[in-house]
Amino acid sequence: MLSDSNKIKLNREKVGFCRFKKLDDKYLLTNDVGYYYFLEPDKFKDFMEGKLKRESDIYQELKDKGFIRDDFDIDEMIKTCSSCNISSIGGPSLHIIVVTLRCNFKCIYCQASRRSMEEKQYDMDVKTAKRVVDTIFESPSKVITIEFQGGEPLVNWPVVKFIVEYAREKNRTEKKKLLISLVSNFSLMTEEKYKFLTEKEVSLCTSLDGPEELQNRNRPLPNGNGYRLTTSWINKIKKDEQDKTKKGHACYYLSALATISRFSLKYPKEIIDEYVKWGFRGIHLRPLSFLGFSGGPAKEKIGYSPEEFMEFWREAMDYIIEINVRGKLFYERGVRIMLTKILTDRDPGFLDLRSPCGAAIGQLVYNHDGKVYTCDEGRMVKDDTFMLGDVNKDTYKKIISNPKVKTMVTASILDNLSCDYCVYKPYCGVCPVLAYALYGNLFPQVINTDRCKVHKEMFDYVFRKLQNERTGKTFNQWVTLPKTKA
Amino acid sequence: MTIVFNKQFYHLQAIKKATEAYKELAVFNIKEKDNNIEIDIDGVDKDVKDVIKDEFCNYVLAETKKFT
Amino acid sequence: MSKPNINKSENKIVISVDPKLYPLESIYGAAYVFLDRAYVFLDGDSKKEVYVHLKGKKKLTDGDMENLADEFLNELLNYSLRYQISKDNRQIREYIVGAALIGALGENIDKSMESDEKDWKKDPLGIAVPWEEKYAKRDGTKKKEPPLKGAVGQKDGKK
Repeated sequence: MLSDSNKIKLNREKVGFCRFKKLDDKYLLTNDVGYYYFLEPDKFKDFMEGKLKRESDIYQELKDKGFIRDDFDIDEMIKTCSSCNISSIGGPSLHIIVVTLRCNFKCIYCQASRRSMEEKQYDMDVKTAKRVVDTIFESPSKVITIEFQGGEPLVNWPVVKFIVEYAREKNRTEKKKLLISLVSNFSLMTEEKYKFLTEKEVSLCTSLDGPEELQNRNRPLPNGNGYRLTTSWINKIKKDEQDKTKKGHACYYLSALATISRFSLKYPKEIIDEYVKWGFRGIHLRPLSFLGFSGGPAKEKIGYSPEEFMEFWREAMDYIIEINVRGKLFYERGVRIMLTKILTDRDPGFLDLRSPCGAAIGQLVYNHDGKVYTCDEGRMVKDDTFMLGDVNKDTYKKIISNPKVKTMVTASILDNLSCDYCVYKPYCGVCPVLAYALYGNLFPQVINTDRCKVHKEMFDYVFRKLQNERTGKTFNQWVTLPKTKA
Repeated sequence: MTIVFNKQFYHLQAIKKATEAYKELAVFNIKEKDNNIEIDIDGVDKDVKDVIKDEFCNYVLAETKKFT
Repeated sequence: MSKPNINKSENKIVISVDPKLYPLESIYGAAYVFLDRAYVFLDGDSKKEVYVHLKGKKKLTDGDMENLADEFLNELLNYSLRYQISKDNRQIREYIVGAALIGALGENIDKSMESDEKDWKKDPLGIAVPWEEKYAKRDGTKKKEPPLKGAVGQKDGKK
């Protein structure tokens, strides 16, 4: 069967810029601003031929969304486009500090290529930490998020403590919006550390891959039960959250990330149930990046095809929607980010899913030795391809002026790639680091990448569900959830 | 084996990029002849001998598209 | 476009495309979409007749071959349409995105986009003319306050 566009005589004066694809029995249109619209084939033909009646609802909505070339509000489009892309400008706001590469866990997919607990040379020292904070505050961004990563950051607690205190102190004069977060397995958490972190308003994030057996298989702790250690703190922190919420006190919500290995694929429901059990508001189902250990010899054992991952993901999403239909609000964070881009004029500021990507212009990563990288993925590549400078030698200006920054921007602007014709372009993004690591090319043949396949299917799923009244309502609730204290 | 690319559809730079990407798998010799670019492929890695010609053509096409 | 030539022994079809009807950019674009499931090769005369060779990566049945040809032709038709829409709207897209980014930086849009503005005035459709000026004079309609992105919607997928 030939497509409906066979008989279309394009009205070049009426049809505003749009990308389109046939999704099941309707045409999905999107434009640069991120508006979308579904049209039945006959209406799609009328639209393309400029035959929609001006007084019809369809015409009015297409007009409001900027799809009618000679009848739309250009100022409004500029305004919406601006607010949807605000995170692309203003300088890097996310600053990831790798205070150590040492870790007591032996996660099978470790992307950070952890070091053993004996290798203390992989700890950041206080002198470097001070230079890191000074460099961070040189960023012109009015919002600064410092995120501790590792290794396991609590292994180098003195430096975490120093950075938190020094950054808070420095911000008294800098007066930026300063957010600090710590990603930890919690196994080395103590009451004293927890008290300090709470008092200094450090938000916490952990890794929870699922029920005990799965968690301990993906994230083994030699000579210990990592699941028990992590969840005992999850339990405590969640109880504290509830107490504060009851008293009307503002607080950060503990968040967690789920990394999906081959061993996780059989347990979509169990993983989600685990998150619900501990009182999380949502889950982020993240596929393996295939950087670090997950890209090495272990790949065959723990990896999967995009098709296998998507089968898991769809089942998990169906279950999450079922939970929402039963009356409990619970979201998938990746989908929530996509929906924020699809349904609102807010920029979720998610650096992996935007054009250009957030490497260097949205985030910087400071390694334990003071070397600065374009992004978290950039430091995970074994060579120094994505290194921009060194806080112990270079100024912020020199670091950010490295020609690699421009290269990363060019390599991730979707308008330069075949993505420019994809209906999901306004909501999507590429990762030049992954492309380089997996295909040896910063400018990959996007359509052949696993990332493209996975994203396309996720967007197909989301747009299919958006057409369903009940799911559409749920999705709207996800993007209007009240924010945490941050 | 030889592949003849028509210059009207394929870009020399794209072919050079493809040979660079495939250099671990075979030895490529590029010759320009009138309207064509001829590629001789020798010393093909035995694991890829059945698919290298077709895969190489796909790679060249994808690279060529970047020039359009 | 004539009927595709099917070559079963080589697991391949050859489609002849008239480049006067389908610009070369569309042929490249449609071909690109098929790279993950077929081996694609282009030949012929870029002014008169382009031959698109599509060889299945997996063994194709007769039905698969016919479907592949139909799907390619569909993609070619869609791509031609997308290409024309993209070409027609290139200038306005660049203006919107450029002005949006400059605006977010707090720059003076009018000053920064001065040269683009001049180009606008060449635009026979008058797209650069503010909505109010353009339509208030014509039909007296007052400009409606445009809703937020999230507030505009249709029944099946409200924004």
